[in-house]
Amino acid sequence: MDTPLTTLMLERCAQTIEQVITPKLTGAFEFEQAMYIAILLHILAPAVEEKTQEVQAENDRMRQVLGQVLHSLQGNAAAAGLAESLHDPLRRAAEGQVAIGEANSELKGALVDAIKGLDELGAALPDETVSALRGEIRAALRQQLDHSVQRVIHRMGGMPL
Amino acid sequence: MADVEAMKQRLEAYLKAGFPHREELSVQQVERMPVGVSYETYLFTTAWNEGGKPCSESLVVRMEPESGPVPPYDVRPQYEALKSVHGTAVPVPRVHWLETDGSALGRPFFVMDKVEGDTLLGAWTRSPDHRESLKEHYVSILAALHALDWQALELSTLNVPQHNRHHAEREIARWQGVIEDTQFTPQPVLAELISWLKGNVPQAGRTTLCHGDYHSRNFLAREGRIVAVLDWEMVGIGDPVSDLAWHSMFMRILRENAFWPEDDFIRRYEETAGVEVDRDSLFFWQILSWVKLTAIGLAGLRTGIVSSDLDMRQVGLWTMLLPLLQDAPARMLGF
Repeated sequence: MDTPLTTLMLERCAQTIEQVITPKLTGAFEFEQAMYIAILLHILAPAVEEKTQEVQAENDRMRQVLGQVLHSLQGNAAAAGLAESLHDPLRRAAEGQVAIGEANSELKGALVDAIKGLDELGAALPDETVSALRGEIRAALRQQLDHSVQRVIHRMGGMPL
Repeated sequence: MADVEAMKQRLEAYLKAGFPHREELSVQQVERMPVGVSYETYLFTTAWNEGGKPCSESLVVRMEPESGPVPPYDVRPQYEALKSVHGTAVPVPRVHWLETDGSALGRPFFVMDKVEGDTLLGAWTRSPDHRESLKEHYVSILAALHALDWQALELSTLNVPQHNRHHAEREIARWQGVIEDTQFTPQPVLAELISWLKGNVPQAGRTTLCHGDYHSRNFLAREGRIVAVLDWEMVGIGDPVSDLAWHSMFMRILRENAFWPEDDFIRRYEETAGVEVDRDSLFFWQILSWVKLTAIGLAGLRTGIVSSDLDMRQVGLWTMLLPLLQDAPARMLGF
């Protein structure tokens, strides 16, 4: 697939700032402004093409994990509130009612609710169930971290901290 | 306020009103310092005549930002801390005056001496003969800070912990609040990290004055000695292990392990301070340090995007760092 024009344009803007504008700047504050704008453009440019596939993969994984959480909460009266809060974002994402980016944000919100909810439920769920669900949640979080870290490292160089 | 000409005019008017006996007072060479991403720092020189004799001094203005990555903003604690600590074994710039009325320069600020010196990293790089003394001084200052009798100092604006888990609990709540107030999208990785923190709060072995931002970029050095510890905006009273953890996190971020390898640093601190650092507590504060810096990053990103003060450093810096700041503690916790 050819690189989208938007990506090429953003990369070009970054190069122009780095090679044409920055060398002429004498003030330290102004120099840093230019440098960080160039960095941003480098990071944002590939996101135009790469993000869709990654976000879809994240959404699929979060739906799977949240489905497991919901399944574990079934029939547990203490968990009714949590189950209800997870239901809507899951349904909307499954039915394609919202755009992929919006679904990603809603599912992340549901994941936050699940993490907090599992803490609050405490003894209302068996320890081994909570432990298994935490493991699944953490695996989904690792996928998201790998995507975001790779995006930065791939473009800016370096390695994880 | 990025307009240094406007700052020059306001400073001049402010100083003329405050020092009417200074004849022909003028403000020259106002420069906004690029250091730091929170408080606005301006360096300026003021000149005047006193009894026909020309006088001048170089000073620094530290001003609350319009909005920034370390909310809520209150200039008083760092002014109080600098004033109280000055003259002890912890070298700090002398503060001159505090102005909590925002009408003078636009927002509250304080003025302190300009300290001549190289950055610690610069001194370390350029003067191999001074490396050992700089390393030792860096540790001994932290030990001295933690040994100060904070109850005897005038620190009325700092919160005092009510029990030995209070500082940690308060910090978790503070940064969780910042995350929730400033995030653009939900942050499940941070939710998981905070969940772990809440379940693992340690008891503080001591309660001391804590710098809150103790790392190598906040120091000035000269001739093998540290001459100023800067950036006291996160000063507080609490568990001193928090300063050790913050330092070790920054060593990783800045990749300055050669300056003080983490284990060596902790051991040297223990020897100098005469205390034992609980390693589980250190681990807890390290995770909290990553969460805290990520919260600062989220707030910085929002500031950079919504503030009327155009400053792309915040947006660029935090877009680059935020994924890495969450990745590191997640790996420490095994995911």
